[in-house]
Amino acid sequence: MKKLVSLSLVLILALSLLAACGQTAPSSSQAPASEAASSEAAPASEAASSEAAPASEAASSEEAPAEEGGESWKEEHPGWLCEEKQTLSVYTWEGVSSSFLPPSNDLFFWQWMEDYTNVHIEWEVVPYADYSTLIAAKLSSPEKLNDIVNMGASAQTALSAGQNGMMVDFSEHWYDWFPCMSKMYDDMGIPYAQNVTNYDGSMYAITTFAAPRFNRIILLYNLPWLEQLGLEIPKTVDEFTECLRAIKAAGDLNGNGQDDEIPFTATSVEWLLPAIGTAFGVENIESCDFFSADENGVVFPEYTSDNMKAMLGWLGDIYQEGLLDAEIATNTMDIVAEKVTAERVAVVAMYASFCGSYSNLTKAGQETPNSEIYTIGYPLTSELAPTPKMTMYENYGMFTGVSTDCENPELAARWLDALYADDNVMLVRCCGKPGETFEVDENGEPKIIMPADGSAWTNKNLGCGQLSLPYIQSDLQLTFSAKATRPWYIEKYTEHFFDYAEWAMPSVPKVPGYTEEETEIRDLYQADLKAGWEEYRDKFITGALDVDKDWEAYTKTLEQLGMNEMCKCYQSVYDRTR
Amino acid sequence: MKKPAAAGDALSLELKRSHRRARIKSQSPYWVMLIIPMLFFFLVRYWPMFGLSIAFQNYRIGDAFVSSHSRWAGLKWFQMLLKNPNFFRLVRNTLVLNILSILIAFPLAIGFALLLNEIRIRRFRNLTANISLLPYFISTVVIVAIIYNVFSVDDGLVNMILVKLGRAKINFLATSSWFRPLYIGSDIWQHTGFNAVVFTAAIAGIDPNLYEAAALDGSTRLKNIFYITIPCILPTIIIMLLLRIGSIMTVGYEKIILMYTPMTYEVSDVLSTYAYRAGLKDQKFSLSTAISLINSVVNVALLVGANRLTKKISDTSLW
Repeated sequence: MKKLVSLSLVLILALSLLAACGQTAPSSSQAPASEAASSEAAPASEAASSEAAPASEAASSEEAPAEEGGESWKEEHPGWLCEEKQTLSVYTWEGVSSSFLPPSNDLFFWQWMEDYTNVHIEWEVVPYADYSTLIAAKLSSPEKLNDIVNMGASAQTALSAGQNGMMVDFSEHWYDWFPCMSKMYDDMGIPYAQNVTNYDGSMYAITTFAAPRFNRIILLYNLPWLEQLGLEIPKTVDEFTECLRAIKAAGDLNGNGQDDEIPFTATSVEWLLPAIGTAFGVENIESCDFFSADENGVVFPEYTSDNMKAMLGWLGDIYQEGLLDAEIATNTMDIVAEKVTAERVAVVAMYASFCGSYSNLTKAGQETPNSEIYTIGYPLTSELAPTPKMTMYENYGMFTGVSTDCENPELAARWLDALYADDNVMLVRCCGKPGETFEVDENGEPKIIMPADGSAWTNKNLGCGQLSLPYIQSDLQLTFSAKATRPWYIEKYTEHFFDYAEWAMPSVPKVPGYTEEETEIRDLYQADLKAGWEEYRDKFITGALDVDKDWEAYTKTLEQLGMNEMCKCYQSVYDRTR
Repeated sequence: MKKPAAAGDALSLELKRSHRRARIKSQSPYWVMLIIPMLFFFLVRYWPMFGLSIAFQNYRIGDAFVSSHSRWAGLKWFQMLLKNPNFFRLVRNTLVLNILSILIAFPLAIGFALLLNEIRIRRFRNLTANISLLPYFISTVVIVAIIYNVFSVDDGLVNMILVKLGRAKINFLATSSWFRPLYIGSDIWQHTGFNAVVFTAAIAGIDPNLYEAAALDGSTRLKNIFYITIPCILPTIIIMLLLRIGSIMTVGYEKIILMYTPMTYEVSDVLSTYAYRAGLKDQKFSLSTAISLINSVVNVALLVGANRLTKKISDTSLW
């Protein structure tokens, strides 16, 4: 009897062990019932919203290649990509921070998008943290891939996946499958297709494109505190330092009985530097690799420039004085949001679009008062850089492709094209609900309909939360949502930046079109160089190392970590792409 | 004379065979049950070893581990690792964290088990053992969150106490010299109770007659610990020590990744965190595999060496 029991136990355990080895990916029909239900529950009223789209926008869809047979459904629904409703599956991340809503069919925009394109989306959404690991595991597994896959920020991942036959090559279909995108970039004069084409002529992904426009990392000032102390928004580094000193000397500005005010902070050191870099002549500091090209087209590393040394030295000084957040090296977005919401922060280095009330630094979607508490500062200047400048940052990132497992790659590509560049989609994505949050005037321009109670719209009302698929940081998106949520935003931004400062020098473009050799060099050195830079940078700022005494050792270390090899690599990229 | 001897041999051989058959038959359920762990080890531990081949290739996502299309790179990734200016720092940090753990946390677990054994009130002993075991079940993320809350420079408990005492605040989380104490200290807090379980079990297996005989001879409790308890659990201590030495080049990267900042790379960046950054984040799977392979080879070499040494000294060994 004992033997029988033990034998059956062993058999069951062995079978369960083997059963786990052969698990296959859930088919699209096995998507969570709640998602399917949510799409069915989309309000019927939204279906009509696409019809309310302005006629000027509808013209863009007419420029798409004519459908064979002249189907009447296309005339009735110009945005539809297919006559019968089709389903596509998408693999992507939740959002770059907890501030953003993850994509879901519960959100207005995606419900509208389904009605507009006649394509239902089944989302497979995973955490943003560690996405590179998750996508690597996804692509390495034998499971069937989703139709559309966000491959994260690595050009190499997209290239490898494509070369291994997992991704559809768009190079032959650029103008056929991406009519809106190709037209948009051609109109803008940006050689997008050329820049996202790999060295072997393939194009396995389309990418986000961040134009250097309205959303730079800048200094945001606590306006009530400045007014309380009778301070002006500083324009030079010296004025800024004095302003911080005055704030520190003022003591209990928030009136909570504690000495807990923080004169100057940032969500990380990485976000601190772009806000003050141009003040010291370190102009290209918002991208990951600090290699710039001078006026003669010679690429040089910003890491070891004299201007960088001056900036790190100044940061070290204000840290020692207690003007810079003592936790600057360990801050995160959420920690800083807590500090800001607790009314402890005077100046914060942050993306311009975060300016406004306290909760603009906390979760999107919260009902917030339409008040100007954190206001936009000027780009600072100093003797090293007497002209005020804005950082110029042009980037290609977030690679999204269509998998070869997709049964209808053209449909998937056209859906991406619509999401990325269709005028109607852009309008609803940026401006919210037609007829409710905006309307189109006689000139075809969208106009905000402000809430009746005098408050402002929130991101939740306006759009879709974080777009976790390719998007362009368009002027429309940034200016409109800013106008709706913070009416003073564009005015201040224009006054303090566009009418005041010049563009900084351009960075070496971060395009995927690197040759195999260039890709190898970058992959060999990039991570180590970045880690080495971050280590010294934080130590210089927090006083663990002395800029004057340890600069030589720092330079030598970065050289050992491949800085010069990277510089040569970027020079060849720059020469080829500019 | 030879014939009876040969017959005897045959008989003896037959007896041995029959005895072996009977023994195998009586043990058959255990042999069958062994299939599960063997299957586990084959599928989960040995089968993936084919993947080690990518340490010698320019591997890309989606490539087969070994195929006619494999792009062999020889020892390129090993050379690259050795050329990395931070390589010796990575090895040093890995070894220091493990050696500190062996020198401090390992004896503490033994000491804790000995102390538990000396508690006479059974209920209190069980309660103490259970409470000490609980932190083991807290996830690493929560442990690090607790560390951040307690040691935060801004509103951490420790810094609040320091301020009350009129001392300056210390940025524990961004100071290199504090990383190791925090890492080892939290490790001791979390794992001592669990690590003591093995030694507690070994102590429970000691013959009580030894203690009774010692009591008759007038031995004190302290002498009992040194002359009975510790010698009796010495083989267990040695085995556990050997196992620790066998993983001396391995440090779990999760906790370090959650705890470290560029400010503390100097002492916190270890081989496994580098493998994580290079391999998973930057998709250099070949480099990551090369690091793991080096780790494993060194671990095995140390384990074999330590095993031989202990066998010579104490007659206790893993094999």
